[in-house]
Amino acid sequence: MRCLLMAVVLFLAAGAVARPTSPVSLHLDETPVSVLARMIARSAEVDVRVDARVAERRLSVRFKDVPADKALRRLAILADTTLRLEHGVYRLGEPLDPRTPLVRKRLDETKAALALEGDLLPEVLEFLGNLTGVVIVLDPGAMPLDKAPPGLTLKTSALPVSDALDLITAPLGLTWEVRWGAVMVSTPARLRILQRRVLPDSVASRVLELTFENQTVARIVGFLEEVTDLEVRWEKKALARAAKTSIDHRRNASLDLQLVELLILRGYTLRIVGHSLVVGVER
Amino acid sequence: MRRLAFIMLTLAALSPLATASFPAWEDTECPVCGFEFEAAAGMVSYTSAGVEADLCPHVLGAHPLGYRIWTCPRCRYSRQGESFREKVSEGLKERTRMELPAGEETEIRPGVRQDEIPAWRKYALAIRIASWRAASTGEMAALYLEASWITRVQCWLDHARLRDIDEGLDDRIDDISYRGEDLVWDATRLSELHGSSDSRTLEGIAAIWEAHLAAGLVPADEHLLVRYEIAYARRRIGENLRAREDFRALLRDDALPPALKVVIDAHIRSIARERGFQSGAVAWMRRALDDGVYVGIDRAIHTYLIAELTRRIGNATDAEAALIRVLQEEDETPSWLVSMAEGWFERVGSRYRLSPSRRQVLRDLQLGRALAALDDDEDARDAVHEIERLRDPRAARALLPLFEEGDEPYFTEYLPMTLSKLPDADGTIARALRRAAVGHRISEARMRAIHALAAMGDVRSRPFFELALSDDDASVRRAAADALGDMGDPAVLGVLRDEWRKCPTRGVMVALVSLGARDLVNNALTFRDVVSVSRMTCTDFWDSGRLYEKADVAKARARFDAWRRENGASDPTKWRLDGLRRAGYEVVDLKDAAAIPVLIEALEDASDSIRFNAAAALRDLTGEYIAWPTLSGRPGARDRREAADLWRAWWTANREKLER
Repeated sequence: MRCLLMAVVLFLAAGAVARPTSPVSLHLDETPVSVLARMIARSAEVDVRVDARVAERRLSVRFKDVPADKALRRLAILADTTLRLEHGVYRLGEPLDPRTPLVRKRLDETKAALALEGDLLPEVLEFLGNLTGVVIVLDPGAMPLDKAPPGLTLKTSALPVSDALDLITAPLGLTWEVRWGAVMVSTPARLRILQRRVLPDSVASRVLELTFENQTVARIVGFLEEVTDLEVRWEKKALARAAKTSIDHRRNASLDLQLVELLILRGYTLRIVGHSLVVGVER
Repeated sequence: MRRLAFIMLTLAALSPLATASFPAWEDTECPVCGFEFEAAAGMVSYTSAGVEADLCPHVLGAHPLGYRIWTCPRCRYSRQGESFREKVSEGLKERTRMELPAGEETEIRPGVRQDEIPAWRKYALAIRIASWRAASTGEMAALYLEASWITRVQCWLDHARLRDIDEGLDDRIDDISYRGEDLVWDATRLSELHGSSDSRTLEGIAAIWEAHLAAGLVPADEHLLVRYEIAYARRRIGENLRAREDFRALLRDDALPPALKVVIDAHIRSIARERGFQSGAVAWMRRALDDGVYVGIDRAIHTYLIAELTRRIGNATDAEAALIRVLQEEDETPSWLVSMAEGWFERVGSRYRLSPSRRQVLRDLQLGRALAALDDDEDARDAVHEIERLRDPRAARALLPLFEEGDEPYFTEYLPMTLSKLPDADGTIARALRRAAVGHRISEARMRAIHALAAMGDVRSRPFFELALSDDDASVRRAAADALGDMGDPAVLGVLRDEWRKCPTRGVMVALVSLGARDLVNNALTFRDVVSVSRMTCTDFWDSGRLYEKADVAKARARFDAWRRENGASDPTKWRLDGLRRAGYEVVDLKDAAAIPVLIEALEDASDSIRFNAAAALRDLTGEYIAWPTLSGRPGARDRREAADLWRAWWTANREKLER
């Protein structure tokens, strides 16, 4: 009987679950992206958020029985923006981090001549970081720290650091992007799943020097909570894991970047709910 | 409309037979007056000769529409052949007798054969009778449409009058017509080479003769005849407004021969007739659309026809609005019709200047359609070509993931070049290709990315090409060497020389030679070098491919040594020009203005290929399309000299600017 009851509950719950493959039909001209996205969301019962900068762009579309996820992908291309799925929510367009163009400019304008003979990737990245004044983070998920990093042999004339990063990372199957005001180096797949910036600007602008030796993640985050006005709420699994995970950390950087290095790159998730930062675990 | 579709499908299905069609006759009896006469029961052996933009089908031999309407030679009762024998009401019989009195049309009299009655006349009668019997809007629209088609198809009958009046004049016009076709043939080869879509013969004839008139290449005594040829070409493709304007201008010319005046009068009357039928077709189609007669594909086809006929009549605004409706009806519009509609838009759309918002609607729909096709495995390749054609920068968002992460070999091979042709304002595409050149897991993709970057002329790629020189795959290394050579930057010589010492590939060799490293040529020791230089200079050192025996290789080597003694010390630019003479401009990659006078001389060369290559190279090098020489087997060696003279005049005027 209990099983039957559970089945009924699951059946009822299934109705409310997002159905990204539900077919969508739209035949509209010069309609704002926000309206089109809302119609897809309503039709397929998926949650779609549209960035304000693309919301008013007007498009003409013809979708006939197109699965909702494909319809959203096409909509994103037509609106010349990005689409990502984050915690079951489709996000059309991404909020622009004001630091990103500044960082990209610095990477393009600073030139470096490379003469590498077996140099290790983290060392080369650190050199380029120091040269440009931009924090470069190597995702441990893409390049495990317990394994010897690859040696690089390369000789170039002076070239923009952005090109140097491409030259160094591409042959290793890695890529890089500017996020949280820093350069994140990882695999394309990892970069896709890593969350985007989620912290409010007031927190992101705080620069702290953190030096920890063999401290648990939970304690480090607790310290951050104390020295800032940030309220941190833990999901149960995340807290259990953070209490057991010890790390060494030394970095002088903005607070959001510290959190990225501490949490996101170790498989945690960050969300802003109201005025709180909710820490969870990647599923 | 289903009948139209049937005709078109039949023509298409039977096209391989390639034999001229002819009518099959049978005896019939007029249901009004009982008169017995012979009419065409159908056509034998249809062979399609294409479809015009207003869907008018052309066939090899007799046109079926010329026989479709049966007209009683005594009472003039006319109707489509398949329903001619149907019972006629007494009222209609009476009206036919009263309102179509004998003698009204001299071509129609007892004893005259059906094919002696002009088809437009039979259609005009059939339309009158159809309106008396209150035919459906769909049938009326079809009769008007077919009448407009056959009026145009048979406009040659108006021209043919000239032979009866002045045979000598007719021969001279024939000669101009053949010469025009020759010019178009030559131009078509060039335009195909340069990606132009203007390869339609009749449009080409009009355009080319106009250009010749403007350039002063037509002798004074042929001016009128050439102008007539231009107008007649326009008449045949249904550009009636321009044709009528041309014909009227000719009529105002005092020097116009009287025989030609008669023919031009007939053309002008025929144009008015066709426009009348077109207007009728548009009006009845609009009514039929409102009545809901057309559904599904038929609706899309008729909307398109309204657009095209309205354009031909001269109402550009309505035509544009109707055309956009066709493109917006994606659910109902078959892809072949979308292609025709888009082709229509490309040809004439710019003339009418679409408003920015309408243009955006069209672009959204076109890109949306291509993106939908991209999701379909069967249509994905066509979609890529479509996206390439659209040149919409937004498409890069869809194509880049396919190239970077896809496993489909076609995409990894073809997409780099497609991507390189898309607008790349923020450098995203170039960056992706640069990364792929050194990091794509598939070697073919790395090689193609390098080719694409070289085609883009992306200067930031150089360190990536240099890194690719040490790629594990030889084809990637060769592509990188070629690309570095193409950059024409002497600074890469050092890199190439190092690479040559490590791995002396042909690509590195060619790159070095193209950068002027002639010491390597002089010190060439391996047969591979000989092959490299031969590719560079298009010189056949190995006697038409004979390389089976060691002796052949030795002979090739001896030829190479002889060539080297004579040419090794000269400027590599000269080798390229020699290469042009031997093979073709495509392989010698001319980029130097100093080559222009040599190319102009080559326009008068005796060899077809050299003249053709020189004309194409001049076009590429200068971006100008001054004139081209005729090719062999065609009349007019004089044209070669004229083409060269025109280019010489242009070179004299522009030399200083280009050599600076």
